[in-house]
Amino acid sequence: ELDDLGLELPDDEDRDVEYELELMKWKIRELRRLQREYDRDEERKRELEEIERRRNMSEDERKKEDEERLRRDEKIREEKPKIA
Amino acid sequence: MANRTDPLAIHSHGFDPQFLIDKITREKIYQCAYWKAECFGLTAETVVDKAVELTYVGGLYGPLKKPTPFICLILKLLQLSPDKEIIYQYLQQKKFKYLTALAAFYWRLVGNGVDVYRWLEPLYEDFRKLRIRRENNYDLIHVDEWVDELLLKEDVCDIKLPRLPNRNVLMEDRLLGPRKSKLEQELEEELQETGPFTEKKKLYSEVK
Repeated sequence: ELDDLGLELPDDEDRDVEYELELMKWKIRELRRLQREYDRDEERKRELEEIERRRNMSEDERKKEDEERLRRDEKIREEKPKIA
Repeated sequence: MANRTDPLAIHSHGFDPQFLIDKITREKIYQCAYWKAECFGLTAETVVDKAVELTYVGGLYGPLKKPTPFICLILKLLQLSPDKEIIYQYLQQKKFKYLTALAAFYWRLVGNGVDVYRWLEPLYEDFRKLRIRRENNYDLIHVDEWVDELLLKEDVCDIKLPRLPNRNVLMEDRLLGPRKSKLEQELEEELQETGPFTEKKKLYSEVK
């Protein structure tokens, strides 16, 4: 079967004999998607937990944590080799 | 003029739905032979006859960036703007996979976020083969992969898709439940104990 540009069309027929094989291939694809969704949910969960944790801290605690983080980032930046 | 949109459709969208396809592509479609010969005077009923004849999905192809019959029919559906129920029937029928693929794409263009997820996600279970025409070749994909592209990608078949709200956001607003895959149910039955998948449901019932 050729198309208007002379390219061959791949076979897209769904045959009963291939059903089991196609089902297996589908299961693999579906598992990957489920894993992706699970990872996405876990990520979101961590995000919500972090927000909750910060909310439960006092203003001073939050400030202290921010400053610590800033210092840490600064240190990492200094340790990084500079481009000559 | 033959390339007019159904006036009621413009009213319900707030803008001409044909504008969902960019001007350059639209002009290409109006000029192409398939559009002129096959799409003239089609209605929501007769467009089905053309859709079942489709042999591949795709956007623009070849060195001249020719439009495929598939996107010609997408533009036709945008002009006609058939009722939601008609699109639902197109999606529900199990006989013609290219009609399903066409309806899924169209619904992704015009449906609102919640409805897009609700109507397209069941097709994740459909693993019939589909040909997809790329620029210079064909690929063989499956209906579930087609739906995955529609729900995740920003561009499919050279058409920029409208923004789709994040699934998480819709779940947290309680507009949508978690997607329940047949495979997941199968695995749960096999495990018969609390696996990682049960936590997913918990997450969204905790969110207020």
